[in-house]
Amino acid sequence: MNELLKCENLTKTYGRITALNNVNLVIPRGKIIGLLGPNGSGKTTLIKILNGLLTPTEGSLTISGFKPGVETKSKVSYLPDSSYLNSWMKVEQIVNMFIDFYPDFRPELAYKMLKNLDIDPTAKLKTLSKGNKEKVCLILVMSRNAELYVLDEPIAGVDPATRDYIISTIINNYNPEASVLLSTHLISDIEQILDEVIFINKGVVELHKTVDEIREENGMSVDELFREVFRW
Amino acid sequence: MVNKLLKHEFTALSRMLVPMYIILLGLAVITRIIAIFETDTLIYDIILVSAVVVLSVGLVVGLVYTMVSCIIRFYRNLFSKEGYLTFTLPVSVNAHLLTKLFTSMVAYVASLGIIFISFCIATSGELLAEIFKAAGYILGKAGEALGANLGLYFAEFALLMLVSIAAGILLFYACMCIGQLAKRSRVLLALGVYFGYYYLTQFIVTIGIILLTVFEDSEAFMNLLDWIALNPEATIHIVLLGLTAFYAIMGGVYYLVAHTIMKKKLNLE
Repeated sequence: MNELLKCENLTKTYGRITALNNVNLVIPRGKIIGLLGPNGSGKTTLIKILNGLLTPTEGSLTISGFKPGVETKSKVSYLPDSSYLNSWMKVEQIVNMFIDFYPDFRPELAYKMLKNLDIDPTAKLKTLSKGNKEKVCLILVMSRNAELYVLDEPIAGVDPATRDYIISTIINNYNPEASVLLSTHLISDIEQILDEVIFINKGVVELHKTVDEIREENGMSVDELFREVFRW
Repeated sequence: MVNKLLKHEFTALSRMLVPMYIILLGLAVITRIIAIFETDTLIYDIILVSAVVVLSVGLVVGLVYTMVSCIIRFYRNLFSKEGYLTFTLPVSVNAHLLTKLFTSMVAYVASLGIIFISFCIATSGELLAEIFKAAGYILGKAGEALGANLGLYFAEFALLMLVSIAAGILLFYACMCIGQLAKRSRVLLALGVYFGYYYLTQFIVTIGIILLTVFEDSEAFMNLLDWIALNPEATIHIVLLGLTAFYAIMGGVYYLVAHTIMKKKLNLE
């Protein structure tokens, strides 16, 4: 089954506000997909539903045929947009926690990346800088051999050198049979690694194409098309 | 997975509670040491009384602190930013609820144990021996009055205590989950629901007592009193087991409320 993620008529409303409106989407295996849209477009809502952190109002979302639940959480590796780890824990304690709960977690890869970044595994998270905390989160997520990696704004709020490191970590460590769903505003930094892009605006998917199709059909880069489509 | 959850849960809770337990035991040791150096002076009396007061207040604070720590742990681990990690673990909602309930109950029982040990340390020696002697005398008299059922009554009472503690914890969980249904001021709503529910139950109990006084001269009530007088042992069993069943049912309802909201209405922000 090449369909990894499938949304059918997916809708999420908060009272009178519609965060996602009848989204129909299929994400195949083995692709790096950019989920692009302005603030409040519904990217994070879709990501949260995918991870079982929100329940849809209507419609369905399945991952490898399963609704978000215990089965899908063992297949999805999720990086939220800010650190979600206990600040009192040491890095090695968090690594041990991931070893305990995720059979697909690769501790040797995690420790290798920590060493490359000069992060002491015995250090408490609260002693690390914001950038290093985010790197630890990314290392934990990319050390899993998941079927779907979901990264919500992985390169926002970090310096350009760290951004390059994060992008190379994603490329070098994800399972090629898996897919990566990346939500970001910094399209020009990420465009070169994307296979497909999804444009979402006001809860509606406006475009879902490969990067090559966009360049051939529109004669412009994804970043340029994004600025064109979402121009004020 | 439940074992692993329990391991991490106990690690997190013990780092909050163990330092407090060490302080309480330390206060008990200090009180006992002061008692050893007894002198017939006003200064000594002031110091001893102060130590006893500090220890007594400390023990009460310790119990309250345990309760508050368990509630804070539940909220932070599930409904704060940590929830993004907790709810993305491949673990069911039942496993999360049951491990939190179990570890909280162990913490409560542990805090009661620490209180008892602290009391024994502070009063160790002749005073403690006298206290145990008096307790033994009272138990002996109770045994004479209640007969062979004394052990069974203790077992039923212990079960009632455990079930009522569990129901109390689950009520907090249910209120916090109900608070999550709001868009803003979720903690405030949770507190509002808790106190609203508390006052409602107090109101219902008061109405029940008033109704009892209205019907106290009725034939049915008189027959009930006669039956109780003739069957005191059975009455105690019925009351203990009846209350246990009541708290078990209410605990089940609170669990269902918390589970349903966490599974179907979760909205982490």
